[in-house]
Amino acid sequence: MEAARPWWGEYAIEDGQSATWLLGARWIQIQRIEDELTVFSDLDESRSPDVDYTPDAPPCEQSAVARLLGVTPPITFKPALLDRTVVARPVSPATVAPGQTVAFYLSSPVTVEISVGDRLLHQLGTAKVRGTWIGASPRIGELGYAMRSHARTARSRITDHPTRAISRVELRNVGTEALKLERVHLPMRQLALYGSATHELWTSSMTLRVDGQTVVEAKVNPQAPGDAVNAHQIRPALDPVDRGTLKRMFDVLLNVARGS
Amino acid sequence: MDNIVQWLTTHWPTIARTAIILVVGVVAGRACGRLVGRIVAKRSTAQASMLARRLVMTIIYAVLLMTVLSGLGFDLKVLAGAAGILTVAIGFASQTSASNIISGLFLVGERPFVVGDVIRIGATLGEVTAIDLLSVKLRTFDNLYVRIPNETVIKSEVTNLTQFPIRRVDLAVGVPYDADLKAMKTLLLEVANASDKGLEEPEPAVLFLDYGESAVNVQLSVWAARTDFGALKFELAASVKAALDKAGAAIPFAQRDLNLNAPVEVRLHSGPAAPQTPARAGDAPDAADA
Repeated sequence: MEAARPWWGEYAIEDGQSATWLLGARWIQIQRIEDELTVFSDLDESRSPDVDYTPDAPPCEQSAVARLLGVTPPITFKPALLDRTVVARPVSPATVAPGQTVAFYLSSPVTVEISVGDRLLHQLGTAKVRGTWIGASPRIGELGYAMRSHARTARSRITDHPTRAISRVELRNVGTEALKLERVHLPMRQLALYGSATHELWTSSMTLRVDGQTVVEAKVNPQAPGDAVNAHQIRPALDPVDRGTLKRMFDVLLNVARGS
Repeated sequence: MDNIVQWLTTHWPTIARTAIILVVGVVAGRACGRLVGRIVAKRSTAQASMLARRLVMTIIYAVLLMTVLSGLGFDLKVLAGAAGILTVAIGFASQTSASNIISGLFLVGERPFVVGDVIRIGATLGEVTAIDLLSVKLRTFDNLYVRIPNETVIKSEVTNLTQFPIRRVDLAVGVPYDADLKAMKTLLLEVANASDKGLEEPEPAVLFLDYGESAVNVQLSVWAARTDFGALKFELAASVKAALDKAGAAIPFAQRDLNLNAPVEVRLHSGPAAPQTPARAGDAPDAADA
């Protein structure tokens, strides 16, 4: 993939060509025959997390996942955040001392929307995500996605994954006891998606103030994240930010260990 | 004929007035019913809206009927007397229907299920297509239409399979007696966690059931979104079997130890099977077959 452009954007496909993309675990091929576009795809977690583009590759022979008739390129690839809350569980639980403020970085896989003009051709995930239940009981709650994260505290320690969006969460422990983080919920529907000049994907950043088992404040910052160089918004948040919902959501998130 | 014409000529104002009242009343009744139905629908279920609409229309039509009869010159006191007697008679005859109606009102108020839910009542499993005054209608999954009186629904145990967003798949697994139970538990949990339809939380679990006749019975429990329940159940059954087969711990067949009270002669044949002749009591064994 050319270093000068991100993997998202417009692509031209000539008549008779089969363009191929590797987006993390996702392989996509789009074949064009006159005004008919056929999409082929598969998902393989063993692939490397890099991206690649081949304008004209040998056509594959597997079953198509989508066909669109009566359209002509260019086609557009546009990333989108997952449509449910993501529960990120640190690989090893982290502890935040009383009075301390910690910023950590989490990344989540994005999906890719393939469109021609205003017509959505298909939407595909770039990684396998596993569902999970977010709620105090099986009766009340919501479905979300689960993932493991290293929850790095330094931006430089995050491995570059072009198909994952990075989220910065600033957590301030205003209580008198240590706060043990066993899971963090990312309210993906309330986050906007940004692209940086270095072709990274970022979400809106979040700020939490926690006192014991209570989330005193939960905020989604409306500006582009400061770590993203020359960030531009790719997509606004799916749902408007509701502070009450955010607080309730984060109230369920954090597990507190006394004296640990 | 002349009498009829003369009667019509004399009473045409009354007839015309009554006809106008009737038409206006019917139109007003329908309009009021629709209006009330829309108001109730915004605050409650479609069934409550339908009941409210019918109730309003029934009341308006009853008042309309009395007005029309009164306008035509009928003595309502006589009618009231006759209606009283009729009500008693109908009451005795329609106890079941009345019970169904009252049960229907309780169902609407309690809302154990709504249209679209999948419920089980007794041996009947199906999707609720209507909750009416007298009965609940179900469509079974092999597309049969089942009508269940509301009284039966109120008195029965009703299981709503679509009330909550997630469900647990419980898979009973027989593990060979000579297998390491802890290793089997680990294996089953790996199978559960490898499934993309199983939820990460609540976490999958392996529970001990009992020491069965032929195997140690355990239960693998995995949660799934309600819409993935059926697919996960099959996927788990296939994956568990494959994993156990691969681990050399195939699910045991039912086994029996047979203890004989007396020796039994067993004849062994080699080559093509000899034609079978039924044994008779007292037959001596064939020396050549020993």
